[in-house]
Amino acid sequence: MNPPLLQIEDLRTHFFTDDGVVRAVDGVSLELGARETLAVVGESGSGKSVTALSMLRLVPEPPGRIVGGRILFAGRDLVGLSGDAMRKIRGKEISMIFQEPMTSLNPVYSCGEQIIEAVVLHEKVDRARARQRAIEMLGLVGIPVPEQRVDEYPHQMSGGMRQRVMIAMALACRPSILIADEPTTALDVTIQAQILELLKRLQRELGMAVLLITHDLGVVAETADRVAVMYAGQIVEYCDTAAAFRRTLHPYTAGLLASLPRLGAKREALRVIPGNVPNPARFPQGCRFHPRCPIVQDRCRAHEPPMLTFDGAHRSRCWRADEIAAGAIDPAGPAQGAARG
Amino acid sequence: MTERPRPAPPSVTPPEPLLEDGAETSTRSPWQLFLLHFRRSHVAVLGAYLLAALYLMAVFAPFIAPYPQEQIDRQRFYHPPQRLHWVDPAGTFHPLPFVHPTRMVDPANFGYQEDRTHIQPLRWFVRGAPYRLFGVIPTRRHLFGVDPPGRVYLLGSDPSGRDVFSRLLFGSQISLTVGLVGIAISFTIGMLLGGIFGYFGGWVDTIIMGAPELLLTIPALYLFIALRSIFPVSLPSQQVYLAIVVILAFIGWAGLARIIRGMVLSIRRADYVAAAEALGMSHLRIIARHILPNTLSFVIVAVTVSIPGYILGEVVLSFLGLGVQEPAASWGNMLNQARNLRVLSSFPWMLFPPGIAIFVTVMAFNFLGDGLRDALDPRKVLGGRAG
Repeated sequence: MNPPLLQIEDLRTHFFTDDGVVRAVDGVSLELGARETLAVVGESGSGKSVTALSMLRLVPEPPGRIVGGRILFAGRDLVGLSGDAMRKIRGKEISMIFQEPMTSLNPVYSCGEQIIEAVVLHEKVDRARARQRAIEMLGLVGIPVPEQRVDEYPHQMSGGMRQRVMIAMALACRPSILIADEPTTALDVTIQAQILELLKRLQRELGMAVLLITHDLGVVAETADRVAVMYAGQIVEYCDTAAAFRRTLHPYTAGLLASLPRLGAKREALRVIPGNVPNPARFPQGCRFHPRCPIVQDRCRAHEPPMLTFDGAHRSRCWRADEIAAGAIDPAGPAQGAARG
Repeated sequence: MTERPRPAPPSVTPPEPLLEDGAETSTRSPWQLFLLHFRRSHVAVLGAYLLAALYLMAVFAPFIAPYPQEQIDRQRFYHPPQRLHWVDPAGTFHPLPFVHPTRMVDPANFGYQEDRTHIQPLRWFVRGAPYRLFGVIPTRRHLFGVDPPGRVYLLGSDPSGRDVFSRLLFGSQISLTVGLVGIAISFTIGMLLGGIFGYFGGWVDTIIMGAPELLLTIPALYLFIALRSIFPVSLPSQQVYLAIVVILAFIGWAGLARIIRGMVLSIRRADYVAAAEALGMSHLRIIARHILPNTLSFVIVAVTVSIPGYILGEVVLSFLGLGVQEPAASWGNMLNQARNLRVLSSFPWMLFPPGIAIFVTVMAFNFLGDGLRDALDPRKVLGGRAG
């Protein structure tokens, strides 16, 4: 692994609401190496987006607040940084693209204007040069005839085009980290593939690290070097992508994988993980996944499992990870394991 | 090139693109889209032209008006509007209209009779009272008039023997601009407060936005009088003008601020605001460049339809004698002269010129506002793509 560019240690972001404290992110640690793609996977409400927003300190405050942990980037702890210093990092060092390309561009400005604004904001260049850069960026993200489309307005573009413009905007100042928060969720399947391909190419060409937030395991398999699986505000498994798919050490990941529809498989009901994500204001005692876990034991109900490391880099937050690692039990559960054959 | 029976001459400029054409390839700025939609509403275009005409007349008032607004004619109080004639009693046609001089026949009831033996032709660009056009160019030329000592009263004269037509024009300078200046102040305050408090929220927001609602529970008329009492009773006319504008803006800003604040509250949650934050923009920059411009289409409409309120506010204040003082004219204090029954029945030209002027202005603003609302409707702008 490359030396970490960004390191998150025990991050805790809580929301103080009328219904109590929502521990949206509760002790997340991860590293992002240069030129690496790390995928953060989880169901809705698992805290993956809040983790990303915390990295840019964009958690709405109040009600949200980073109550603990450190985010180390370029020798600095972003958690303690002033608003001004943080603004110099956003868009310049760490950029973010969002899920909804249809609404992420301001309808009153042309696409070029919005890229120019991003460039002028962080670099001492005149508008003419910034415009040149905007055209360059549009070309780079694969928009045909960029010198013409630079003056077009968002409503003249399709969703895929707009997501390309968003990417051009985010990368206009050549950040070293791009956070992509479900960048393909709102797009057609064919466009999804194009955008993922584009992100991969840009990562190679620009040499940046990508933090990819998604709930789509297919996207993970295609793009990520490593994967962090989140559940109920915590990372439950953290390993190489290949390892996660080949031999997962956590029953939640196993459940996610088992719920993927398989091409060519006998037609049957889609497998699901029984139950729902717990209410983040009232997590269950013990392991947060235990009410839904197929291999639950008594100690899972009583005590929260620590993060355990296997083979040097494969981390799992499960009391029975050693048994899974030894091949003694199937993390997907005995019944499902038998059915899968 | 398409083959045609008769070869068309090669044209350099392509035909004017239709809405359906080239929506994908040609860039249509929001402004062009706006014009496209606006022109479709004939009533709105009519309103725009009417307002343009009204404001032009206000600007050129001293030139168009044959007499200064305070010039008194001691021989002709309550003189009725004079008829323009083209054919004289001898049957001769005059290409330029003329009026007959009048003399008073019933001093008790201000009855006048035309003297058909004499004619006074209207002349263009006559020399008259000196004035400064646009406040700077000294001149004596007036658009029309009759040779002195004759007089022409197109819309009659008032109880002091002043020309109603001239006063209507001079009055428009006050009545029409009060709305613009007032709304400009309200707009600025509304944008500032609505933008900032809508964005940041918090308890300050609750108080600042709650206070006006308290203010608005007081009946408007009392509020007018109470606010007017803050200023000295007798003021030079310029200061009265300022006082009126301040009073109207003080009452008017709240509505606008509330509209803007509401819109800012919703736009603040828009994805492009999140994107702007993620690009490292400051809060004020986001408010000024990304949020407020998105409220503009609604604010323009709100501004247009609230200007009549300011105009009517000035009318009310001046009608009550709290606004613009004689001898300076405003549409409000002109109406003031028509407030008793005898005047209304005997001298209707005291009521109708300012009354109709106010009516036309208010209608024109409302027509314009309706047209703007349709043209600026964001759904419609998107529909304009027709793709």
